Formats: sequence, C-alpha cells, structure tokens
Amino acid sequence: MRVQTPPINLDVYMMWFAQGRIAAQLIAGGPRGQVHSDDVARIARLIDQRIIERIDNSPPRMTIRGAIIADANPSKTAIDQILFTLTNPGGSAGPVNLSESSTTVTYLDDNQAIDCIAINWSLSPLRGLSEAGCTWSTKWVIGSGVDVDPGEEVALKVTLRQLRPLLGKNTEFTIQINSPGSAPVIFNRTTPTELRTIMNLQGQAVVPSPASIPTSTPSLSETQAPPSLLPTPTPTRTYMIAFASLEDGNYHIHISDANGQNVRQLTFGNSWDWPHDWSPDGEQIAYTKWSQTDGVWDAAIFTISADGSG
Amino acid sequence: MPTDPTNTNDLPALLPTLADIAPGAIIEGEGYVQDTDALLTYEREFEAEGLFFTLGLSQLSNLSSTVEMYATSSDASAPVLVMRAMDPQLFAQLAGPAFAEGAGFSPENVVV
Repeated sequence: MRVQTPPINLDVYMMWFAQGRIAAQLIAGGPRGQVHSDDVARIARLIDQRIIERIDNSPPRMTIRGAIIADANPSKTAIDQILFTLTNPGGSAGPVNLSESSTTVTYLDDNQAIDCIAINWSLSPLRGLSEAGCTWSTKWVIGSGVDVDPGEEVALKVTLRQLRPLLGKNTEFTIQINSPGSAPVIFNRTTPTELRTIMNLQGQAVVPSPASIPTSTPSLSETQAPPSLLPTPTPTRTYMIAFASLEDGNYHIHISDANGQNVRQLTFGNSWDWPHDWSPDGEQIAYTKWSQTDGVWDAAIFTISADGSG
Repeated sequence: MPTDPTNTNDLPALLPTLADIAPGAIIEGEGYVQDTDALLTYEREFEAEGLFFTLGLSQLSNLSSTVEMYATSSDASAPVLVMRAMDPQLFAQLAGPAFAEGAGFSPENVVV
C-alpha cells in the first residue's frame, strides 16, 4: 500500500555572504510562518564571526604605514587613484613576496569586485589592460626587489580605470592585497562627502605641529609616509590655502585663495612635494620633497615662500 | 593552489555545529564537495530528528550550511554581488525547484 504524505507548506530562507576569500551560504526550510529571518541571520553572523576571527588570528605580514591618499578625477566627481605605503614590520615574519605574478590586489565596493592588473609586468603587455577596471603598481620607498624585507617600505598605487559605477563621494570601498604566505592586508574606507583634488582617506589631517617639523633632513628610517595632503590654511593669511596637486605625474605645492580661486603653483620638477604647515607669520610653507634616485626614494624638509620666491 | 588566508584550511570549523543549534537536529551529512569555481567547498546539512527542530523562535525541518574558499576575494564576492543584484522574486523562482529537489519537499515561499 502506498502511503501518501500530507503536503507541508514550507518557507525557505537563503542567505549568501562573503568575507575575504571565503563565501558562505545558508539555506533554512521550515513550516510556513515558522521560519524567522532573525534566527537564520543569527546563524549567518555566527559563521561570519568565525571567519573574521580566523583572519584576525592570522595577521598579515605587511602593514599599512601612514596616510592613505586619494586623488580625484578632473571633474572631482570620483576618485581615480589611491596611494598608500606598505611595510614589513619585521619580527619573525621574514620577507613577503610582492611580485606582480604572485600578488593579487582587489578592489571591492557594494556594486563590484575587481582584481586589479599589475602594470609593471614584463611578459605580456597586452594582458587586458585596456579593459582593466583597475591597475596597481609599486614604487620602493625603502629597499628594492620583489620581496618586502623587514624594515622595507613600498608605495602601492591603485588606479581605478573603469569602475561601474565610479568611486564617488561618501562611498564605502575596500582594497585587499593578497600576497603568498600572508593573510590579506585589507583596508576599508569611506570617501569624503566632497572630493577635492587630493584627500586623506583616513579622514584626519596628519599635519605636524611646527615644533615637530624637523629642522634637518631626516634619515630614511625617520621618514614617515607622506602626510595628509589636505589643504592647510595659513594662520595669519586666512585667505590663502596650501595644497598639493598632481602636475605631469608629480605632486607640487600650490596655493589658492580661500574660495579655491587664483591657484598658483610654487614648486616644480620631478619630485613629489607634500605641504605640512605654514610658518607662524604666514609667510612660509614647510613641505616634504620626495625625490627618487636609482629607484630609491629620499625625503627632505624644505620651506618655500608663499609668493614663490624660494 | 593558493593558500588559505587563514592558513588552516579548516573550513568545517567555520560552520555551525549541533552545539549551536537546539536539540532535535541531527547532521544529515557533511563533507568536502566538488565545486567548479571554488578552491575548496565544505557543506554541513542538518535535518530534524522528528518533523522539526527549533532554532530560536523558528521551527526548521532542514538547514544547509556551506563555506567556500576562493582564489581571490573578488571571486568570493562575485556570487554575493550577483545575488544582491538579482531580483529576489526571480531568483526564488530559479532556485526554489533546485532546492526542493535536494531537500525533498516543495517550498511555497522562498526568501533571499
């Protein structure tokens, strides 16, 4: 005799989520009206927490040093470049391979997840660059090669080329660096509500007090990563603003009126110049000049008159 | 093969266990499964010892949990982004029959 099972009215809840390189899926089924999303979400959070704990318990062997700098596109509607510095803090970590063939740099936001293409390649220059959503490249601040040894520093630049949609104002995003043998370096940021030419994505100005500005050229070991490029209003000439802006691939000191008009460029050349602060009398601007010789970056503190006379 | 970011490859430990669920559930099956996209996939399936088991205020007949490790975070996020972008009703129509086949019953209401 065949037994007919009475039909059961069922609800099914499905949830997907991802954390780092791990994705999870949860499907719960039960009697109609007896499955509550809060209960399913609680189990999902449990999995999520365990994934995060695993990642936290296996820290990356590189850390981000100093500020994260962003550069807006000419129309200032989106960010198209992100610059930050990675360092190997040492200890028992040993070197970390940051070669383009072994390292993955990923950009993520609520709408897209894109593996960026390294542009320092040597084997295949046609590797889909024209269609790349983003690219990444490195410049050695301290050290050289492809391994980041303890104490070495590498500036990593991510250029956002074809995001859809673009990385606009007040938008959360994530950059993740996966290198062999190391947990990912992950940083999450929210872009500012107003996009200027250059901004600090840590949301705070890293402007040293006048007393903290070195009077002599710092050694590389003393040199910090580029400080904030947020405009620094002069203490006495409140009608002028100093800022750095990208000119021909290099950052240079500019000043403008408080309303952003009447922009004047003060520094030139192949260096990257970051403004720090005004002198107390408002006549001078202290800035760091980063210059590169044979692939090695060097930094020194200079001052320049606001009228550009040196 | 790329290394696990957790350096453990211990995917089963990430999933809920019987201790996380009220009595009345049993593990119907678990293990690594083949997945064409993920590097590693582990599933743990719970079902009711009787008709239903309790989870908080819910009564469930079946709970399926899966974790997958991908080569990159974008690979891992891609399915989630697709789910977010897809119309939930449309997805429910597509996924419902497949789930019903696996679970052995016909869901009337699928919530994504």
